[in-house]
Parts: sequence; structure tokens; C-alpha cells
Amino acid sequence: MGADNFICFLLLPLIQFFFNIHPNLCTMKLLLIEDEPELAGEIINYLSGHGFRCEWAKNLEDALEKVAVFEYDSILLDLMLPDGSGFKVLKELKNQQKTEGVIIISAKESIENIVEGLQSGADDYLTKPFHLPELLARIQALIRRKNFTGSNSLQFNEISIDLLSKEVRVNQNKIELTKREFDLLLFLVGNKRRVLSKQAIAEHLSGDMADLMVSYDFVYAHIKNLKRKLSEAGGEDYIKTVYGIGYKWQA
Amino acid sequence: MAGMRQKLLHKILRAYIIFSAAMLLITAPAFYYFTRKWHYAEGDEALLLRLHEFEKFHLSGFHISDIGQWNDWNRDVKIEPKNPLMNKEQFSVETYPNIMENDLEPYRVLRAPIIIEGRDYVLFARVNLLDTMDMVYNMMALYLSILLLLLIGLYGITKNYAFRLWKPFYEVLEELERFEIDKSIPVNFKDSAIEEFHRLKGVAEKLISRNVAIFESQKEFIENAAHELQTPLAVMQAKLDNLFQLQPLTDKEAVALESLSNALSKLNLIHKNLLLLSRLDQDNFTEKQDTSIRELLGEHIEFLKEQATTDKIEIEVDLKDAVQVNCNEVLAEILCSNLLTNALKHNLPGGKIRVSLSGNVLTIENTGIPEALPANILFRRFSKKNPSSQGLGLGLAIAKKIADINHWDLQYQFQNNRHIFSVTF
Repeated sequence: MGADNFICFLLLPLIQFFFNIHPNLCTMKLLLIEDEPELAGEIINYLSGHGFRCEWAKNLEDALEKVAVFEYDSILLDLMLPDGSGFKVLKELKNQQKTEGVIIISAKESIENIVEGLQSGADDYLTKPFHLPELLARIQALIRRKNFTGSNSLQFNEISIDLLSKEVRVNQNKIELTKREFDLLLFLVGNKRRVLSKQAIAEHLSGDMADLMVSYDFVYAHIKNLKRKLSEAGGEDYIKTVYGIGYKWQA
Repeated sequence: MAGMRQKLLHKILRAYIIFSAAMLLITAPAFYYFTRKWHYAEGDEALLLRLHEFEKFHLSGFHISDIGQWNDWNRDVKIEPKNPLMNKEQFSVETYPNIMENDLEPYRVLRAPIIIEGRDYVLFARVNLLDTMDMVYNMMALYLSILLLLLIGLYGITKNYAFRLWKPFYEVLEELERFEIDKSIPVNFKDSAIEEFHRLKGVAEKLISRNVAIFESQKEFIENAAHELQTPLAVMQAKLDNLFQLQPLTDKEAVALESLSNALSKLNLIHKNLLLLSRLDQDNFTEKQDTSIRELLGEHIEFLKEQATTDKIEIEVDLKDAVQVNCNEVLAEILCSNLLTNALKHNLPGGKIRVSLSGNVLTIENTGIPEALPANILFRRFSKKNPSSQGLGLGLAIAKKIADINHWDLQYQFQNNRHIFSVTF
């Protein structure tokens, strides 16, 4: 009993404090508002491997209830719910002056919808269908923005990534990466231990220009360059090729 | 054909004019001929009357010695010496000098054989035709003026009355011309008191409303289908992303997953483009701003160059002018990116792309198959020639649609073994 009390009253605030300044290292609480159970299942499956504890609300009523009672680090919001529009959740969050980061995951991708969503307090917008690694990268980016604490950096063994200055060091040796190589590194590290398809990587790297993509071959060129630069600086070879599918950051 | 086409009223008017002119040409000589003929007949009657008068009242007591005196006192009935060729009455038209006015005047002349005291003579009688010819000309003039008046009247009636009569028809025609099925401009037909036009209006309205209904339901269907597809596509994508994590996969499984993933990416893109097309049909992009086409191209060309390195395709860029256009930026971007992607997709390894922007024309040239593409189906949806080729067959259709919405001119040419697409903003 004594040990339990000790953890509850003394350690927990400490742990929470620790969580807040190093959000990537610990379990994040995430609310998924999505009416399609199959999709929700897959999202939860993918995210839970990356330190997220996901709660699922399958309709608007459920979502509003959860939002009112609990605090989340991030909310994934589908706009088209069986019992109403997801915009109501955004309104409710505003009313309660909550500052949870919200990513809209919607089937509707009209400009008006995106603009309205972002104006109503959403932080990002992802159109269905999307790649799960892309969703994870967006959530991580959102949480980093929300938990801004001055030194916004990411450490993976001997590799350190400064997200503000976009500097990458391997064992304190600074390496020069192009913008795409930097994005690629961040995407791989963020989705570590996960197999990423060429398509997911290509679409992530091309961003708004994904429609201009003619083939996924350019991914290979970027991977090759990144691997070379990391190994030249003395880094371990974490990027593994997965036959037929893509690549994986081996941790 | 177009050159031959005429307005309905002009056609009617032309028919009237041709008919009137023909009538004039045919009837005027006939009128002249018959008037003159009747007139000669009148003269002939008068001359015969004189002959009979002479025969009845003078001939019985007439002597050869009287001839000289008779001829001196009578100007219009004279006795001439016999003509051996003449054995019956002869009429003719001859001219004689007018002593008073010093010119020649036409006369109708009768020569008839007579016998005076057993010897052959010829009776010569004449009547002046001058007065009567004047009458013929006056009548001709009157006739012509009546005909002319008739013609002017017909022209006036056609111009004014017929135009007013046909006005409802032209109104319906204009409304139909203004009508565009993908624009929501209401069609407003005025009713007409004339039964045929009333019917025309009814038929046109019915036809339009039926077409609009079909178009709307088709649009709605595409939109719904696209949205309904989105969730299953999202589920498939998510399942696939999770399937990749089931390591280790056998080579066979990996290859199957890879092709599944490629197919799904293609499906996603088709779906996205279909959605875009359906939204273009609805004219959803009303927000406009001043857009620099050069700026817009710059970013895309960088990405294109990155893509082109794999196939060693050389890209030549010559953006002379900024080309400021007031339009929806998103649409302009999609148009440019679709054309650029097209130039890369249908290129050959080691080929070339040339992008130039000058004046208000964007030109994108690329090497590719050494034959012209069929221009008539090039911009149609899913009209690609080779079904297994990389393109989806929607990019150019979307580009064309965007160009049409903004009234830009998108053209295709094949010159010097290069496929050339040009947009005139």
C-alpha cells in the first residue's frame, strides 16, 4: 500500500512533468473520433506501437462526452460522423478552452472544408485515404509544436536531430543534408521499427506535389544518399531495405 | 456550309425579290408586246375604216384625173400608182418626217389595191402612232411603278411584320444558345400567342429540364460514388500499411503486397482525380486571385527535374515573362502540374522536355512516341491509347476542363517529332 501511495502522490507528478518536456519518449493519450471500425482498428494498431494510448469514439455523442471529461495530447477527428458534424467537437473544445491538438481526418477535401476546419481550431488536415506512417508523422509534428520547450530536438542513439535549425549530428559531427534527406530521416526515425512502403515515403517527400509523381524511383536515390552521409559521419546503418516493399529504420 | 447559311427572314426576302425581278423581266416585254399589238390592231381598224369609207363614198364617182387634186388635199389618204407585187391589203409601220418639228414620226400604214376606171391603183392610208406610243410608254411606267411599290411593300412587311411574327422564335433560340448545362443559369422562355411558338417553348423547356435533371443526377452520382469510395480506400490503405509490418514476409508475399500497394496508389489517384473532375463540373472554384504562372511553374519544375533524373530526361526551361493571371491558384497549379507530368510520363529515356513561358503563352514540348496523338480524343476522360501505360487518362481531361472554365486555349500539336501542348492565358 505504501509503495502505491508513494507512486501516486510523489512520483506521478514528477513523471508527468518529465512526460511534458519529453513527449516523444513516453505514452501519449490520443482520442480517435472515427465511425468506421475497420479503419479505427488499423489506426490504433499502428499508433499503439509508437507510444500512444488510443481511445476510440465512434460517434459524435461519444466524442463530446470524452472530450468534456478527459484530457488528450492529440485528437484525430473525422468530420462526417453518423450523428452529426465533427465541427461540433472543435466548437466544444473552443468553448471549454482546451488546447488539444486536432488533426482532421476526412473524406471531404474541398478547400472550403480545409479552411473551415483550420479556422475552427484544427491544427492539421489529412484527407482519406492516407498512409498510416504519414498520420504518425503528422501527429508527432503536431505534438512537437504543442509542447515547444526551447530545445526541440530528437535523439536516436548517436544521431541527434535539431528540428528548429534542421541540423543533424552523428556523434557530434554535423552532416549536411538536403531538405528532402532531412524530411526522409525524420520520417524514418519517427516511424522507427516500421516497414515503410516506397509509396508512403514518396508521397511524404513530395507533399503537395504528390500528384506530379511519375514514379517512386527517386526515393531510392534519396535513401542511398542519406545512408552514405550517415555512414560517412560514423553512424550505424539503421536503414534496412525490405524486399519488394520499401525501407525500415532498424532500431 | 457555314458560309451558305442565311437567316430565315433573309431567305424569305430573297425569294420575294427573285420572284418579283423574274416577274418583271418576263412580264415587262410581254406587256409591251401585247400593248403594242393591240394598239396596232386599233390603228389597223381605223385604216380599214378609211379604206371602206373611200370605197363607199368616193370610189364610185372617182376619176383618174381627180388623183392629183385628191393627193394634194389629203395628207393621210393618198392614191399611189399601182404596185405589181401588191394584190391584197398590206399593213406596215413607216416613219415620215414631221414638217413642223423636223424629225421622223412613226405611222401605221395601209396599202390596198383599188381600181379606178378599170385601172389598178394603190390606196395609201396612214395614222400617226406617236400619241399612242406615248400611251404605251406611260402604261409601262405605271406598271413598273406598281410592281416596284409592291416589292417595297413586301420588303417592308417581311422586315417588320415577319420579324415581329418570328420574334418569339428568335427569343427561344437566344435562350437556348445562352443555356449551358454545367452552369446554373436559369432558362427563361417568354410565352407566345402563336401556337407553334408556344409549342416550341414547351418542348424546349421540357428538353432542358430533363437534361438538367439527368446531368444533376449524374453529377450527384459521381460525387457520391467518390465519397463512398473514400472510406473503403482508407481502410485498404491502412490494412496494407499494417500488413507490411508482418515481418518476415516471404519474397512471394512481398511481391504480392508490392503490386497490391501500387494498384492501390493508382486507385487513390484515379479516385482523387474523379473527385476533382466532379468538383470542376460544379464550378466550385470561384475564389480568384492574381497568380504568377512563372512562380507557380518554378516550384513544380524543380520537383519535375528531381523526377526526371531517373530516366535521364533533360529539361530545358525558358520562363521569359511572369504572366500574371487572375484565376483560382489551385486550378492553375493543377493545370500546370498535369501538363508537366504528362510531358514526363509519356517521354522516352534520355528524352527532352522544354518549358517556355512568353507573352501569355505557356508551351510544354516533349519527346515521346514518334507520331501525333489523336487530337479528337486526347482530352477525353480515360482516352489513353495504351491501357497499361502509366497515365490514368484523366490528367489531360482535367487540364482541358480547367482551361475551359477559365476561357484559356489549350492546344496540342505534333511538330518535329515533339508533342507540344500550349496554353494561351
